[in-house]
Amino acid sequence: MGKMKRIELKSFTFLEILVAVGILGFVLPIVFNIIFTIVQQQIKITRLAIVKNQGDYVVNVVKNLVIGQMTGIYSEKELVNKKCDGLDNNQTYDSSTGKDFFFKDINGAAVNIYLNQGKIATGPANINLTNDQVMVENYQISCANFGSFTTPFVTVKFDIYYNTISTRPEDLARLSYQTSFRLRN
Amino acid sequence: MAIFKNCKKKSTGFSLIEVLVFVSVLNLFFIMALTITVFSLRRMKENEHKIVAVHYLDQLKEWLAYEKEKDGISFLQRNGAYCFNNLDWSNPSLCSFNCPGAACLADFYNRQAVFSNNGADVVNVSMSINWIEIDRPVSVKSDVIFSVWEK
Repeated sequence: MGKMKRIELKSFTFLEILVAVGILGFVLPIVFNIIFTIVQQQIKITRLAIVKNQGDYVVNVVKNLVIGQMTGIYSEKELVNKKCDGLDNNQTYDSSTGKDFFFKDINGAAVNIYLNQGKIATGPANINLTNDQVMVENYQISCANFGSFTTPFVTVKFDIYYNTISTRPEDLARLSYQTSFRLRN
Repeated sequence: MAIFKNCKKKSTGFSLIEVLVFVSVLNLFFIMALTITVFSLRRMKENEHKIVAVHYLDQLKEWLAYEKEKDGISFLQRNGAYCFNNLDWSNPSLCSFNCPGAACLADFYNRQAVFSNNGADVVNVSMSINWIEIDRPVSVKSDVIFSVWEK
């Protein structure tokens, strides 16, 4: 019987494992925290860009629609009571929903721009100008006439924010808009 | 026995130099990654502020267009600088507020415009919005020309 060859199995000691896990436990939270912060910041920028994009779109559509095609302002869709018509100085009229603020378009039809469950919409076709990603609040549409026999100024203002259930400040993206322009026709 | 002695393999761990080199390379990598991360985060924060700043510049442009529509004669005769942290004509100078602060726009920005009247019913407005991005000033600028287009 010759001598049996002894195979020595080498493995990590408990202390080595403990040190390795300790270092990993220290480094991994830092790495993930950094990644989380970067992703969170990127999400906030994306949300802000979406909110700005939607807000700018609403302002452009409303301006082009009203300046290009609207001729007068009325308080009901039957287009009877004309508002801010310039017959008296400093006439003003405003609506917080837009549902009692109608324009008469160049074809004589009643058109309104109103707040519809957190979205800005145009009637009578009820076309939403904003999508589900954003919500609108503090909407107001108003008119004012500063002179006699002049066309009125229309002011539209609203706050638009990203639609999220989170209330953490870093998740919120909100912008305020206000635009004023004069009826051309 | 002599043969077995020669075949005996000496099992050793890493030498100190090897460990030092490895740790140094790892540290270098982590420092680079950290630098890139910090730089990237700062740029992202700056971009966020820029989006809001552009919005405030657009807001000023809209308001100026409204003011011109309301009283074109007075508007087209304006000259000099105005601070527009609030949308009114009450501060006829460049903004001198230390931002962030309560007097700043959204407690963070200084928004101003310089009017240069070129005569002939044309006024050139150079708008700018400034803020401090951690340690350096940043600004966004935009120029608009207003004229009496009705003529």
